[in-house]
Amino acid sequence: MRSYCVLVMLMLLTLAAPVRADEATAESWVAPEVIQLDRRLDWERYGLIAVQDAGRYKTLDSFAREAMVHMTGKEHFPGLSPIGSLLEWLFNRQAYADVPVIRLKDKGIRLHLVADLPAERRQVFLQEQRLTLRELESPAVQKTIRELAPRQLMAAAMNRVGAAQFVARFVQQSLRIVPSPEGVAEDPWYSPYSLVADLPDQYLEVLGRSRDDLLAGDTTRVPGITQQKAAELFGAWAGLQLGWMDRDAVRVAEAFDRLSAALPETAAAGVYPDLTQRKAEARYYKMGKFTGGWLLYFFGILISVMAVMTRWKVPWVLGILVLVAAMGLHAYGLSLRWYILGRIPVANMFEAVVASAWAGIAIALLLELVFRTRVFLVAANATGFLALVMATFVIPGGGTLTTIMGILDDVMLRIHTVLIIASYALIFVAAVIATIYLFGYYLVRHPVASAESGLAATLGGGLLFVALANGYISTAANASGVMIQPWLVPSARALAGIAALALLVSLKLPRQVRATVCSAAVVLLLAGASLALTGKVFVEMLAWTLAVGGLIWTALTVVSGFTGGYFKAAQQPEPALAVAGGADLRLADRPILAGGAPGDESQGRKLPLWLHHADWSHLIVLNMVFVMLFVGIILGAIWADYSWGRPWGWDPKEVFALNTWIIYAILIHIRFVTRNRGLWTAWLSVAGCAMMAFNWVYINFHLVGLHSYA
Amino acid sequence: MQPASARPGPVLRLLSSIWFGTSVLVLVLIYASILSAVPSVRGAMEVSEMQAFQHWIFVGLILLFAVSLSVATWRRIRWNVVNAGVLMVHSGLLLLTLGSVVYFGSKIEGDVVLITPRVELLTAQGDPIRGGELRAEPGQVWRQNMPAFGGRIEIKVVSVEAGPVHPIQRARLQVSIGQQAPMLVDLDADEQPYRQISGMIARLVTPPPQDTFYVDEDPVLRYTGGDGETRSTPLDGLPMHRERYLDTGTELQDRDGVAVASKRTHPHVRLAGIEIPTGWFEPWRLPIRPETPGLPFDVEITGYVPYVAGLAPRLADGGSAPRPALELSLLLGEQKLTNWLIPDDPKQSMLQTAVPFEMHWVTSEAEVERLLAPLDGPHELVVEVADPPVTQTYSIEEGQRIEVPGTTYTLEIERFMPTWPLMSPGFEGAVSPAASVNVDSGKLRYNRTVIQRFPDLSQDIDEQGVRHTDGPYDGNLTLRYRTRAQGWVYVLGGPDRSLEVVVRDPDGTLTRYPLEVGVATAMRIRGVDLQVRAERLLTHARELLEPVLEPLATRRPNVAMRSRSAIRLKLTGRDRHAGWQEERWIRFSSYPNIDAFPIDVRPPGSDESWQLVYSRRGESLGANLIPKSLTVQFFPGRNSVESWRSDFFVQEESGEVRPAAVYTNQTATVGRWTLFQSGADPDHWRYTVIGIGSRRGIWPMGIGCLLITVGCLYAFYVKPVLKRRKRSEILAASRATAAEIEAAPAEKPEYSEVTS
Repeated sequence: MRSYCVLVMLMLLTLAAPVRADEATAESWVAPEVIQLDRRLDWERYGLIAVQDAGRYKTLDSFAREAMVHMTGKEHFPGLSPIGSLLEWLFNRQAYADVPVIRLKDKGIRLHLVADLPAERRQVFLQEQRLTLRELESPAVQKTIRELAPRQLMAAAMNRVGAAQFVARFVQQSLRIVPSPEGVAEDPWYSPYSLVADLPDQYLEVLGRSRDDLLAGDTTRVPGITQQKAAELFGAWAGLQLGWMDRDAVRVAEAFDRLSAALPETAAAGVYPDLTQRKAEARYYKMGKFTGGWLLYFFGILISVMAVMTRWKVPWVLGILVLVAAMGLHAYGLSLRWYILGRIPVANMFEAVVASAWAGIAIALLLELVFRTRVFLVAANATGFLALVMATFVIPGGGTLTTIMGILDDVMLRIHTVLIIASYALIFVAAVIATIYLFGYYLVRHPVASAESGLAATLGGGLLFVALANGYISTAANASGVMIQPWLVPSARALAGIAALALLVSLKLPRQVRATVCSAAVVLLLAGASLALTGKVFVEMLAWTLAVGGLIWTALTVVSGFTGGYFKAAQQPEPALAVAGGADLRLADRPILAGGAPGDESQGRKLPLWLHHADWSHLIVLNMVFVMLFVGIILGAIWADYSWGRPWGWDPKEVFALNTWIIYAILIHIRFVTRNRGLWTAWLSVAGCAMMAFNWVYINFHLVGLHSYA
Repeated sequence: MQPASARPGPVLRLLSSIWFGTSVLVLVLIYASILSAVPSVRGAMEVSEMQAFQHWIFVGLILLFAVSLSVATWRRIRWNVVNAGVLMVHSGLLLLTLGSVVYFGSKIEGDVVLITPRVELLTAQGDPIRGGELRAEPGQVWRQNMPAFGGRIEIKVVSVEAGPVHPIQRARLQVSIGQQAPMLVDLDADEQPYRQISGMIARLVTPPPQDTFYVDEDPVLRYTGGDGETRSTPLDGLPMHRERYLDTGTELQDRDGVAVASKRTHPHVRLAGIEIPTGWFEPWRLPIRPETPGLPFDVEITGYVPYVAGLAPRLADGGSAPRPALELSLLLGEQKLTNWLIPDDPKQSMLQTAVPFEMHWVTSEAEVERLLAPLDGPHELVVEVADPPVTQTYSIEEGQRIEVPGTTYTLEIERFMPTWPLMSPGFEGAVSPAASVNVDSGKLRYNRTVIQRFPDLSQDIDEQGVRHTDGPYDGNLTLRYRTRAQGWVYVLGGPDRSLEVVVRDPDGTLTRYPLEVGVATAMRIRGVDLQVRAERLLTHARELLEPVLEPLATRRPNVAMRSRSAIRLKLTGRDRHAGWQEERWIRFSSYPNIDAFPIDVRPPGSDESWQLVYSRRGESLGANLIPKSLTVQFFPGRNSVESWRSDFFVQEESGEVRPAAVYTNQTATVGRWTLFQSGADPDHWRYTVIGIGSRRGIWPMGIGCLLITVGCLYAFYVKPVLKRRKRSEILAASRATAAEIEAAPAEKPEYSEVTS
């Protein structure tokens, strides 16, 4: 338990650290009077002004957050609200001309641009990843950006540079808050500067500014706007600017009130977005898209693992309660997103991960309530935790609300997507149960070899860390900015070759050392293959997984070993029940019951009852996966048939969805011909999960295909 | 399980083994994973995604799986209600497999472009006015301020009428020009498609119906002979992904001038120095010798390149007429400058450096002497007056005034221009030293630009400032100018003489250096030591178009590679053209009826030429598609498209015409073809691309999928209930007697090893 507490504390510290760093740097960016002004304004109210951007209507608050993320990597300047940051940049940009606020996260791009900077800035820029506006606008940097733009290896990184640059230099043009009185919902809106062309001359005289001076490079006009309306709207906007620059909260608030009242009146009937929806969007963003529920799920994992280990009822009940609370928060975030977008949120990676996890968790909770095997509870919490951690920290774009292509707006496709991603979540649920089974199986059958294998994995992770530290060098040839050392690939190949040989030899070794040598060889094979074939990011992920996973595995095995025979307790199934698959009657008589071959007879040796339960639970999930995945694939094919004119195009994503299904088909059949059924099932389930993850991550992000939008 | 009367043979036992079936599935998995997730493997094998899964190895594995499944199902599974689920699943899988083999075996997919009817605006000469077109649809407006045509012009389509053939037969336009009253103009697709409007021409364009679409993965060579008939021949085995060209001594380059070497030119792998042929596995090959009946020459495909950025001329020997060309390199330290010098090309006959290098192909010594004749000073002007006949040579300088003795002419040397650019037709891009001379003949006052290299192009500007481009303003006076102020280098060659470089220094000194091809010659020019090397000398040079490739860094992999490809043809004359051979590159034409990039081939001595196009195979639709319109729906802001809709008419073979439309998530059917929205004009109206595909085999696949789904649900959720019920019945019966309980049959899995 102590290790869990340490882990929790570490995670909490991780959460707290950025906040402190953020506050610490606040002083260096923004003047104190700006921060004071910002704190006196009611952003929840003013943030509801509608902006037309990126093909949809959003709130000013959302617009500001997204614009600031593009430019600075965070939703706001330190110490300011998102809208305050946007206004400060809009109206007072030159004050920040020499402040490094523009973040360029791709090292490969930085390595190119660094040569265009003064010598004293180079090291700082490489480390802090930020350019000043003056540096960005310098001819040398602009020339380098133009040269890099067509390079395919830099394409994604240059898109990010383009987005940062657009906000830094032209954000005023994309702040389209003025609707045309003649327009329909599809028609463009305009920035406040588009009103200048229609301002009455007398107004300009009163303002003491020339028309050209006010245009700010915007030469468009708002169709159908009257001079009076233009003066009213621009007057409010100008008041906002002057109030902001004078740091006068009252005038800023008054200007916002005028804009909030006048803008909806300007739009034609039915065009201005609904207030309730805007409020929902503001709440959704304010709550960080409700992905913070990962912390609840994490606590759920700790409690439910305890429930599995102790078989006590209290942690089980507590685990259920925490899971329900986490699911409630999760569901609220999902439903808000659904309401804001007006469609089921399953159209991009963020939505798919969050929604699928919820579906998987809901099914797992239902199964737990019916069968009470506790493994569903662990799996449900683990699924929620991983999904929301990915949604919060890993998935590119951070869950920004976006439109979907019209071709994806189809009932059949939605059912297809929901089924597929729900089955993916269940695949993960199954893989968690498989891991529990494998842990239990090896703990019971080969505890020493199991602990040694865990250590081998840890050492494999360590080996990868050593390779990471020495095997990569900086390069400007690609966006990631790293290149593999020439010696690393042949070394990795040799390592993989030796490991493969050792794997073959290990089959002939004495039983006592076979498992350890075998698992060490597999780890080395994995390490060598990943170094030779994959990129640095994957190797890093694998290194952490092996090191931490192996360590936890070993620690739990050792700790469990001290508990003596608890896990091997004589909870053997009754002989009559063992025939029915190792599950007791309570489990077997439940209405949702998987078919398939009988349970694990474990080479004639009996396993503890809870392992039989785990195997049976596993099979229940796998059967659901098998059907849902297949039906999902077929519905996708039906949609493709009437959308693309062909049901199947051998697109990589289609192929790997089919591959995943084939693994489960193999799994179902292997159960009929093997003696260690539970073990085979668990390993194949892990393989199926790996195939699913490969499809979702690698195929989605690295291969161009028909599903590249998904 | 069927009763086994005798022990089955080893083949049957193998095929019915679950291990064997799962092993085949694992092989399918491995094949699919590699071919799908590693594009470089598909690239090396030169197959598309679709072709990778139509490969005989994959088809073989699938068929083996189907056989194994059939045998295992027949031999291992009892035909009863309990096993109905697994029987349905297996039957479904077999149907799915069968349907897939039919579907992918007969799969044809391609597309056709439908151009929207429109009104085009042309100049009086018939040239299109840039941007001057609008959709032939009521309410469409085109506005432009065109002072040359009478001010602000607005053309609005008031109404359109459909006809028996064209969806837009007639269009009525309202034309407003400047302040004039609007007028109505009627256009008729057949009777009066053109009308003149204030110096412009308005034309109603009704694109022709399309009865053919072009198949994606079937490249062909189309050729049109003198009889006008177009034939096409398939280019089976043509690569797709990689640069593959047989060695003919030249290496292609990318846009940055970097050589792009050919990849393997025949299918093989090399292991430990041993070449293992892989043609049995890889479907591509080079060269390809397509059948070309009707052509007087043989065609051989000797090269293929994707990612073509454009075609650029390259000089090669073998022209029909003498045309000398010298590739000359100047080496100064580490720097090297290489250029072609072509004496009969005004632009390329001189290399403009600090000291100009000019090449002359001389046929007599007198010509050499004239070229190398000494100058009277750094700048020399020869004055020839016809009446009275006077010829004088002067050493001149800027600002100098010359009164030509015995004549009324007074010349003033205004200025010297060492690199005067020429713009006369045929001389564009050439430069020459020139002198600007103001002439006063007593009657005429004008300025003459006297051009050293092309004296006949010297031009006069008269008193009114008019430039006389069609001849001298004053034909009585001829001026010739030469300079050695910056030095001059003559590169001399000729049919009967070896190459020679003659350097004229600014002080007039002449130094001669013999030049050999491939040998660097050291020389001193204006005090600078450098080396000059003749790289290649061609006597019968001709220009060949060669692909320039996209650099690796800017290539977009897997995106429409074929559409940006080019092939190299080796043409070899037959019969009366025997002995003639030529190599040509052709770019790919996606739509040979719209955007063809043909080449014309005319064997020497032939008065007939053939047009060759590298394109896609055309497939008959069995009906005519008559274009109507493309409609676009936007997301808010109109910056991005939400969906497209293409409306058109289908004219069946019977002559019946019916309206049809394809749009997002909606296909249409024409005969055995399915039509779907595939692409569209980026400007959202000019054309739409309709994808067309076959669907044979869909129904067995669909029924198979349904059986698998129902079977799975039955096996997983109905079968256990049936089995429990059966067990309960047995248990109930067993209560009667202990003996009956003992006699109750044991639970058996639905799979069991067959033993005899």
